Amino acid sequence: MKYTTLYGSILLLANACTSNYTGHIRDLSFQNDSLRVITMIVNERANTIAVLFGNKLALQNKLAQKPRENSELYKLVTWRQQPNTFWYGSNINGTLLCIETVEITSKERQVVPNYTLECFDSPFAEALPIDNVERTTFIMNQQLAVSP
Amino acid sequence: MSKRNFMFFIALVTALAALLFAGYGGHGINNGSTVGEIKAPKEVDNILRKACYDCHSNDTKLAWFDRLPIISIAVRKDVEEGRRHLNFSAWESLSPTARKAKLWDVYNVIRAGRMPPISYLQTHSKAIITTADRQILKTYIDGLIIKQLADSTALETTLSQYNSWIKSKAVSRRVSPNGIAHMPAYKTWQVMSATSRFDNGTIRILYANPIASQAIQNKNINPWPKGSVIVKAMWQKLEDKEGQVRPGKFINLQYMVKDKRKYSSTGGWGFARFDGPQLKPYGDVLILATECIDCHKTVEQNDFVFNLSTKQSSEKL
Repeated sequence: MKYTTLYGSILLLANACTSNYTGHIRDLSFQNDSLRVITMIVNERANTIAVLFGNKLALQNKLAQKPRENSELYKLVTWRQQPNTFWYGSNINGTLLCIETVEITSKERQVVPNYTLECFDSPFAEALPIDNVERTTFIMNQQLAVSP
Repeated sequence: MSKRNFMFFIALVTALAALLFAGYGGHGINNGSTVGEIKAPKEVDNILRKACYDCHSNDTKLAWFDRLPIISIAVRKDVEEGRRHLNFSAWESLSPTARKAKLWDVYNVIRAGRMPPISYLQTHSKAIITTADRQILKTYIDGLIIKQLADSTALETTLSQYNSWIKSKAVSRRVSPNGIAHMPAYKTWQVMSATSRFDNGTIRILYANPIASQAIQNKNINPWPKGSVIVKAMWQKLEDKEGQVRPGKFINLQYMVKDKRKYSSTGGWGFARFDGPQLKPYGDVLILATECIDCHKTVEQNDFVFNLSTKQSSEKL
C-alpha cells in the first residue's frame, strides 16, 4: 500500500512536471496547409515577425520571375515578436496579429490583385485605415528567400 | 562487540582507509599551460573563475576530497570533458565568432540552471552563481551585440547567391555522414515557428513534418513521437534603415530526427546539417554525435527542442 502511494505520487509529480512544459506551448496559430514559404520579415520597430506564404503558382512565377497570373495567392501572416523562453538571444513569433491575403484574379484580360485583411490583434491599430494598394505592393514585391 | 569482531572491524577500516588514501592525488589533473586566456572585465572574470574554471580551464583548483583516489577518477573525467567543451585558458584559439557564441552558450546554460551542475555545487558552494552574478554576465554579453544595417557587400552577396540559386537545378540526394538524408519535401511542411537571433544576426524558419506538427497540436511533445522531424532554415539578417529585416545569405538547413532507439546517445534525436545552397553535408559521425546535443542539452526538459513559442514570454534573467 505504501509503495502504491509512493509510486502514485511519483507519477503525479512526473505528470505535473510534463504538463508544466507542454501546457505553456502555443498551438500552431496558422495552418499553412498547401501554402509554401516565400520569405520572412521582421519589423524591429513594430516588434513583429511575419512569414509570407504563397500557393504553388505564386512560387513558380516568383522563381521564374514571371509576371503576376490569375489564381496566384499570397498570405502574409504577422505575429507579435516575443523573447524565446528557451534561449536568451532569440526572439520568436508569439500572438497571431493578422493575416493579409492577396488573391490575383483576372478581369477583362487584366490581372487584378484583391487585398483582404483579417485582424486578431492588429499592429495597424494606430494606422487604420490601411492603404490596400500600398500593402498589396509591399506583399507582391517581396523577393523569394533562397530555400534549397 | 567481541574482541575478535573488534579486531576485524579495525582491520576493515584500516584497509578501506589505505585503499582510499594509498593513491591520494594519484589521478590528479594536468593543468597544462595557458595559451591565450579569456580577457573579460574583472567582475566577469571573477564569476568565471569561481564557477567555471575548475572544469573549464587549465587552472583547475582541486579540493582535498577531489584528490581521493576513487573520486579523483570521476573528477578527472569531468574536467577533461569540461575542457573539451570549453576551455577559458585556450580562449584565443577560438575564432572571434566562436568566442562570442560560446559566451552566449555560457550565459544560457547558467540561466537554464544546467551549469554549474548541482552535484558540483553540493560540494563546492563557492561556485554558486547569484542573481547579481547573472545580471553581470547578461550585461556583458548584451554589450557584445553588434546591430548592423545591411551594407552594399551584404546586399550584393545576397543578390549573387539568389541569382545563382534560381538558375540552378534542384540539388541531388544529400546524405549526412550519420545517414540522415536531406528531405526536399520540408518546404511543404507546417511552419512551426520563426525566430530572429540578436546574438548572432540570423533569422530562421522552422518546419515540422506531419508527425511533429500533429504532436504539437496534441501537446504530445514530451517526448516527441518517433518519426518527428524538425527542419530549420537559416539566413543572415538583412536589416534596412526602417527596421525591416529580411533573409540575406542562406546559411544552412539543420535537421532533428526523432528515434529514441537509433539515437539513444543523443537524447533520442539524430542531428544533421547541410551547408549553403548546395547543401553540403556537415561534419562527421563524431561531431554530429557531440556538437549539436552539447547545446541542445540546455533544453533537456523540452525534449531538447528550443524553438517553440510559449504562451507567456517569461523573460527571466
